[in-house]
Amino acid sequence: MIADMLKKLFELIVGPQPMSLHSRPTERQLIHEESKYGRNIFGPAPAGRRRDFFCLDAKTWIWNEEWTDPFTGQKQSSMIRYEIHSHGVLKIRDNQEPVYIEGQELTNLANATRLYFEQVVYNVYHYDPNTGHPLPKHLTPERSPY
Amino acid sequence: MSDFLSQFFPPQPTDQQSIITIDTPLIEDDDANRRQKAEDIALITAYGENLSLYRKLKINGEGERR
Repeated sequence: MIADMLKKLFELIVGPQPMSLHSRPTERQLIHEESKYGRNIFGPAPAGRRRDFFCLDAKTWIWNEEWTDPFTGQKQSSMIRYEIHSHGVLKIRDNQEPVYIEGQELTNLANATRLYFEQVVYNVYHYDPNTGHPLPKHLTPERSPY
Repeated sequence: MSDFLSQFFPPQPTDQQSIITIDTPLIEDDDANRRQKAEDIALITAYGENLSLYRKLKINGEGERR
């Protein structure tokens, strides 16, 4: 039930977003824009695969992969939700028991969130991720619509 | 006399000290793991919370003031 809701939410977020340069963006539009950077943090996805990694809210990160099964031709997907708690990070996958991640996996996630933060703050929000200061005009990336 | 002897026969560790000496590397590893885990969780938490703030700023039009 929750997994279905998350899948629908995911499709809403990563699907095509109506954009207007003249109105303020919605949270959904911003997450969609952020996810363009998140999907490249781990390098290019293998051919035929779509990968998304983004921060859903302050306490939730999402990893999603989609691909087509070469034998059946059916679309497959795998979504992992990372819930941040004060005592640990809970990894939740479809049809599997939630587990708290430890060791290298936890450190890898921390590194991924750092890269995501740095790239998104610079490219989407136009702030220096190290100082928190707004980027000067001449350094503002032109790619972001916001 | 006892001072003179102690130069050649330094005090032996008690059982408690021996146990601590043997276990020290393991305890240090556990501490390092705990510190790393706490640091990782703190970083992930901070990045998520800060991103939420940047989103709110953008949604509320704060960036337009620049």
